[in-house]
Amino acid sequence: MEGTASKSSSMSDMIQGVTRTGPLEWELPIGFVPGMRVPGRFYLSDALAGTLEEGALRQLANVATLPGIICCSLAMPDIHWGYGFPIGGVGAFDLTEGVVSPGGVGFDINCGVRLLATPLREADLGRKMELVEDLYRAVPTGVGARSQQRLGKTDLRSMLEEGAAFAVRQGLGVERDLERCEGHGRMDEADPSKVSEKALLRGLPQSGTLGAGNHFLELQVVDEVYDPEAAAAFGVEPGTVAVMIHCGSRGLGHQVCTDYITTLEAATKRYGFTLPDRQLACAPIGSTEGQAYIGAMAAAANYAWANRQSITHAVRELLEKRFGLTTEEMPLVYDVAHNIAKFEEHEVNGRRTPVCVHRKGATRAFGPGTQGLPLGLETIGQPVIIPGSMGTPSFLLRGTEEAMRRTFGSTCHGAGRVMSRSGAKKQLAGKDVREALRRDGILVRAPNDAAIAEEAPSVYKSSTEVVRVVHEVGLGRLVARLRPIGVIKG
Amino acid sequence: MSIEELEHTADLRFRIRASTLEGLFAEAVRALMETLYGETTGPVTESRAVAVNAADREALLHDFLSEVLFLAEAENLVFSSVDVAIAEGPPLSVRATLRGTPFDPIRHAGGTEVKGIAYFDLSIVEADGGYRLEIVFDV
Repeated sequence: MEGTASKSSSMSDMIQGVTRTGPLEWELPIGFVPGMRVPGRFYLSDALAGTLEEGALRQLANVATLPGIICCSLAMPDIHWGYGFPIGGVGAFDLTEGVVSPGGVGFDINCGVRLLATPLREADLGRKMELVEDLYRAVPTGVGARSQQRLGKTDLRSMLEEGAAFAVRQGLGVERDLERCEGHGRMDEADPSKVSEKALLRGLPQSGTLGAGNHFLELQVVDEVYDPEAAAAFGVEPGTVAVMIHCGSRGLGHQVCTDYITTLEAATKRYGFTLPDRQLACAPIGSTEGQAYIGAMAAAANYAWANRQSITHAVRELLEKRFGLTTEEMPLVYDVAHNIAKFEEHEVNGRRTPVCVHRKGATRAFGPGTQGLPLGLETIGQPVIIPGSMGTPSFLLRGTEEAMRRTFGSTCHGAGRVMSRSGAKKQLAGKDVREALRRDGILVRAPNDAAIAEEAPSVYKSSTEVVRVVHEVGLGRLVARLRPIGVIKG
Repeated sequence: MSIEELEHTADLRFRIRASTLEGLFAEAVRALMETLYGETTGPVTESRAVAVNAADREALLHDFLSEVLFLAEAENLVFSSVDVAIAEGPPLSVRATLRGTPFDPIRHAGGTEVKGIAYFDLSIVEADGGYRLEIVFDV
C-alpha cells in the first residue's frame, strides 16, 4: 500500500483534504473527520471523479474511526453514499482489538451474484420474450412474492446451518455447484439460535424468491473474452448464453440486521465507543454481542446461498424443459457475496494474520495461490462476477495477488448508482426505458414501469469504466464481458 | 402534514412534517406503505397492534417502523391507516393500531421492497410549531 503523495487534481480542488497518491488512488488523511485511527483510501479514475459524493467520503472516513481497524478504510471505484459504511467500502479488523458492525455488511446480508454457463447460442433461444416471460413466472419476483417451496422451521434451521449444501441435499443442485461458491456456499460461524423468531418468520415464505429493487435475473451473451485461459478454466465460452442471478438473504437477512443494530447500539454504549453514525453500532469481535451478531449474520449468509441455489434450480429446470439440456451442461461458473463480514488470513506488517474483513458492496477477489480457491483454479485465481446495470455489460474477472496486497483480497461489486431513485422517476419514464432497451436487443420484464425507470442504465456509473479502474490498479484482471439480452427485474 | 422525497443516491430519503409527534409517526407509516406498495387501497379487514419502548425519539421511530415493516412483510399486509399514542415516559413508548388489507398482487404491485429503516441521518426535530423527520429507507 504505497504511493507518493502529490496534490494536483480536480478532485483535490473539489473536496478539501483529498490527496492523490497514484494515478487511480486517493487518500483521505487522518483528521478528515475527528477520531480517525487510520487513513481512508479509495480507487477512482478522473472520469469517475464527478460521480463522487462528499457524503460517501465522509462515510469512508467514519469507518476509519472504528476500533481495531487495520491499515486503512478502503473503497472501490463503485463507491457511493450508503449508510454506515459507504457502498464499495472494505474494512479489515483485528480479532482482538477490533469490532464487527452490521453497518459494514448492510441490511441485505450476502447479497451476491452467481453466473451459470449454458451451451446455448443467442440464435438458439427462439422467441426471446417468451423465454423471459417463462423465467419471470418460474422465479417468484417483486414485492409480496411468495416461495413455491414448502419449508418448515426445522428445514429453515438446517438451511441456516448448511447454506447452499442444504439446497443441494434437497435435490436443487449438484455437489459441483458447492465447489464453485465462495467458501462452498457456507459460513461455518452460522448459529441459527442467534436468529430471531421474527427473522425466521420473514424468511420462511421467501425462500427461492428474487426480491425487488436492484435484484435481477439476466440472460447474457459472452461477447468478448480477454483471457482465454482463465475463461476456459472458469467454464465460459465465447458466444454462449449465460444466466446471472443477483439477490440476497431476503427478509430474513434484513431482520437480522434490524435486530442487531439495536443490540449493538446498546453494546456500543457499554464498551464506551464514540461513533460518528448510529448505523456504525458495533461490538468487539470476541464479545458476547459481537459473537451473537456474527452467528446470526453467517446464518443469514447461508440462507442467501441456499436461496441463489434454489433459483438456479428453477432456471435449470426451465432450460432443461425448453432446450433439452442437462444440469451438467449448465455448470455454475461461480457465486460471490458482496455484503458480508468474513474471517480470513491476510498479510499485515509482513505477517499472516487472521482478520475480520467487512465487504459492503465489495467482492472477494482472492488471487492465485490463496487458500480456499476452487479445484482447478488454484493458479488462476477466484472468479469475480461484476454485474452491470440493466442495459450495460457485466464482467467476469479473476482475483489477483495485487488485491491480496492492497485491499485484503477485495474488488468492486458493480457499477454503483449516480442518480437517486426519485431523480430517475422524475427524469425517465419506465415505458421509454424499456422501449430503448428493446431497440438495443435487451428485453425487460418487471412488476411495474417505475421499477424499470429506477434501474435505468443512465442512473448507474459506467460498469466498463469501474471495471477498467480495478483492472488497471490490479484489483482484478478482466476475463470476459457479458452482454445483457433479457432481464427479469424484481 | 407532508411527505417530501429528498435526494439520496442509493436509497430513499424523506423529509416528513406533522404538527404532533403522533402525526409524524403516522405519516412515516404512510411513507413506508406507499414505498412498499404504491397504492394502499382495499377493503379494510385486518388490524394489528404494535407497542414499542425506546431510549429516545429517533430509536422509538426506528423500532416502531421496523415493527410495522416486519408485520407487513411477514403477514403480507398493506396498512392504510394507523392510530398512534405516544407516552413521553419514562419509558418513552408508542402504542399503535394499524388497519389495512391483505396484499393484492394486482392492486399493490406499484412499489418496491424496503430492506430496512436506516439509523444513518435519522433525525426528529421540533420546527415551525411542529415536528420534522428525516429518514432513509434501504431499498
